[in-house]
Parts: sequence; C-alpha cells; structure tokens
Amino acid sequence: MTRAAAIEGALAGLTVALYAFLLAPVGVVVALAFNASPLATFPITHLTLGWFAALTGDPAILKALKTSLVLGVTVSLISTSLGTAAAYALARFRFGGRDMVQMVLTIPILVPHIILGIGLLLSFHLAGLVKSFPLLVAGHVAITLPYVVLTTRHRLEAIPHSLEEAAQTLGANRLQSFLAVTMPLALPAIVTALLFAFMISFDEITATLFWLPPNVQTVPTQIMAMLEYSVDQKINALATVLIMATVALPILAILYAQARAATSRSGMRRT
Amino acid sequence: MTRPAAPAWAIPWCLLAPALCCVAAFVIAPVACVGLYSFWSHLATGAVNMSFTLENWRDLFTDPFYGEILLKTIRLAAVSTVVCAVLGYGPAYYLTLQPARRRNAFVLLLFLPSWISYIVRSMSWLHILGPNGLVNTALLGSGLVSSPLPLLYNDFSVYVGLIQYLLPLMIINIYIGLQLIDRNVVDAARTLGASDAQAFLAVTFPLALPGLSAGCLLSFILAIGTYITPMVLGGPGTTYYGNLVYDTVVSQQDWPLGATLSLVVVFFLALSLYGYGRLAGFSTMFRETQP
Repeated sequence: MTRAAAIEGALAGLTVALYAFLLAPVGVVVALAFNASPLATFPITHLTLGWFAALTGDPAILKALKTSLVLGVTVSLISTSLGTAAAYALARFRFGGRDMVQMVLTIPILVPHIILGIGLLLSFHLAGLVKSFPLLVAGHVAITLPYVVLTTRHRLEAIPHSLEEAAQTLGANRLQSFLAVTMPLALPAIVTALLFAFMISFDEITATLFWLPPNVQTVPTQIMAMLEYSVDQKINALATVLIMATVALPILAILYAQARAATSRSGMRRT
Repeated sequence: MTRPAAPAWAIPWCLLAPALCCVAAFVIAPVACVGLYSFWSHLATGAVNMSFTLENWRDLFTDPFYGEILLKTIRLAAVSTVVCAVLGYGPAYYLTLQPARRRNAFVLLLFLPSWISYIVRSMSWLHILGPNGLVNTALLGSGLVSSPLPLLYNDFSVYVGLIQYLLPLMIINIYIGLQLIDRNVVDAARTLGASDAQAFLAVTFPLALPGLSAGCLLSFILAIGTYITPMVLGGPGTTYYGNLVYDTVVSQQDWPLGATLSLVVVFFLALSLYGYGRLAGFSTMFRETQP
C-alpha cells in the first residue's frame, strides 16, 4: 500500500512538473507584457498597460489583426456550413460508400500542413491563379473542415431521427424539419464547431506562410516577422492578446455547450 | 409542390458534395500536383519547365546535403517522440487514477497549451533560455555560472520547443487510450493474483497501445515537417528538413525541387501510417487473445 502511494506520489510530482513545463513559459510572456521595462527581460520593475496601448498605434499590427479576424470569420462560416451539411448526411443516411466518404473527409487532418501549404500554392499556380486572399480562405477551409465534421457529427447522431419524422408527419418538408427541429438541438455543436474553426484558422502558420499574398500578414505571421528584428515588448503584448483569445474562446465554447446540452436534455426529457 | 422532389439516394450526396469537392480541390488535387511538379524543372528565369525530367530526384538522392539534413531531422523527430512518450505516459496514467472532477480539470489544463498559438508557445522560450532569460538570470544570480550558458538559438532550444509543442498531444492520446480500457479486465487480472506491476504490463499497457501509437504517429509526423520551431528557436546550423523545403519553395522559388523535397515528408507520413497500422493491429491481436 505504501509502495502504491509512493508511486502515485511520484506520478503526481512528474505531472505537476510537466504541466509547469507546458504552461510556465507562456505565463512568463504574459507577465512580461505588463512589465514597464522596455527590455522585455526580468526583473519586473513596475506594471503598465502601455504596451497594449502601443499595439493600437502600430498600423502593421492592426492590419494583421484585421486580416486574421476577417479570414477567421469567413473561414469558420464557410467551413461550418459545408461541414455540418456533410455531418448531417453521415449521421442521417445509410448509403454505399459512406465509410469511404468518412475517410476522405478526415484526410486533411493527416496531411502535414507543410505539404498542404506547398500543394495548394502549386495547384493555384498551375490553374493560373496568384497568391491571394481567396487562396488563404480555401486553404483554411480545407484545414478546418474535418474538425467541424467531427464536432457536429456526434451531436447530430445523438438526436433521435423520430423527432424529425414527427415534424415531417405533421407536414414539414425535409428542410423545414431540419431548420425547426434538428438545427436548434444541434446548435451547441454547431457553435462549438464555429469557434474551433475560427481558432484553428486564427492560429495557423505552417501552411499560411506559403500562401500569404505580398504585403499581407496574419497575426501569427506578423509575430514571426517581428521576431526577426528583436524580441520587444510589443510582441509580448500581442502574444498576450492572442493567448487571451485562444484560451477564453474555447472555455466559453465549452461552457456554452454544457449549458445548452443541459437545457436541451431537460427539454427532451420533458417531451 | 410543383417541383418534383429529389430522389432519396441523391440527398446525402448533395449534402456531401460541397465538403467532398473542397477536400478534392484543396487537398487531394494539390498533393497530386506536388507529385507532378517533382518531375518538372525550374528555369533560371524563375518559370517552370513542364517537360518530364528526373533531375530533382537525382539531386535529392545524390547530393549528400539533403541526406544529412534528413537524418538530422529524423533524429529530432524520433528523439522528441520517444521523450514525449516516456515523459507523457506517467501523467496520462496519473490522470486516469484521479476522481472525475479533478481529472476533468487536469484534462482542461492539458488542452490549454494546445490551444495557445504555436508561435506564441515557441517564442515564449526566448524569455526562458535567452542570455538574459529566466534560467541564465537565475544561474548567474546564484553564482553557479560566471557567464550565460548558450541555451538559445541552437539544437537544444529546438528540441525543448518541439517537445513542449508535442507533449500535450502525446499525453492526450495516451490518456484516451487508457480511458478506453474496460476497468473490469484490470480488476480481473488483480483478482487472479497479478501484482500492480504485472497487471499493468500484461493488461493495461498492451490494451492502451493504440493510444500510445496514435500519439507517437502524430508527434513523429508533426516533428518531421516542422519548420516554425527551428525558425524561431534555431540558429545558424540548425536547418531541419522543413526549413529546407520552406526555403526552396518560398525564398528560392524553386517549386519543382521544393515539391520533390516535400514528397519525402509524404513518404514518412505513409511509413508512419503503415507502422501505426501494424502496432494497432498487434494490439487488437492482444485483445483477441484475452480470455
């Protein structure tokens, strides 16, 4: 018994140490972003929000932020529409080639982003197109699509088919029954898919660097470009903004999904 | 009601068509396109000569420069994968021992770093390992060293950054593998007289192998193609295979050669998938032989 306790104690120690290894460096970036010293080093002399204010005065950073936001919103809307339609087909219908379709839709997860980056660049070129914003959108949609399908499919499968059939018996057509019955019940998964697609797009850098049109940067590539000169406080502030966005968004998504799942479960129980 | 309804068999395909077209046009065709370019050549003018040649492939196999960098990259990928697997197994196992509430908190904390931007996680090491970074400040302050240790912009910092990037993915995969095990089987082994260690080695570990192999597959593939980590944390002489591909395609604009180089990454992807299939196959074999 004591030996088992010792092993568990050792595992606990290792776990805490590795979590610190994973999270502490990021914590350091956040701490430094509030440090008044312009050198981006320790010790922390006194606290300031000045570096965040400095971000708003930098046109290159603002432009990158705008590009990333527009790209992320466009990509998540397109990807979630395509992905949800596909997930609905997979969840609701039995047809020949279904396994094959599932496999094809997961291919983008398996292909390393560096290959996706080169491939799409070369195929756009072969088709006579130049690096442009639509190239970024196309690539990001392909990257985020499998995650949308995975996120929405489970939820769609959990919704009893009989609900939709009931609506159809009452005179709704397929589209109406989907919009009035299935869609509201699947909403938590659809919103989660939107947020995750946005996050993945907002973060992507490996493939994006191959696709950037001239004079266009996204937030991650802007950080990359800034790092080539020096590690200054503006980078820490921008990184902190990014950390806040990528940590707060999924937590909000989870809380929302849990709240919705709880209400729709109790709703289903009542009916 | 005037419009005739679509035949039932066509409905799922209409719903799937946009997504399938997207994957076909933006993933499958582009990868095929990479194959095509690898047999073309780059002209001095910057244009692409679309007549068949094996020039790029000959360069790849005869120039020892590519082989050296590839070997260095395979070592990086293999070492980081093994380090992550060895380090990550303990915490993944520890999580399965925790009561549900604490376990969920731990899992959330584990997903947290994988949500944080890759570039931010990479650059965060600049503040830790740099000459004025946390580690050197502490070492100098305590008098253990008299001048800052060279911890940054070398292979060491690339390994550290990459391991930090891959570790959460590895732990999550091992954890999922462990979670899928039927606890009754482990209890049965204990009832039949197995010690903790025996039950772990004979039952838990083999049954959880699919999770571990998925984690290894994922981190190996990600590590082979990485170029961001070496770009941020590497220095002179830390060119890895991904950097080579990136420089050839983006800086030198030699797309046919870049395509050829990147197909090596695809080859390793196929090899890893094959290895994964074999490993996962073995574990199903184990499962079938369980009484």
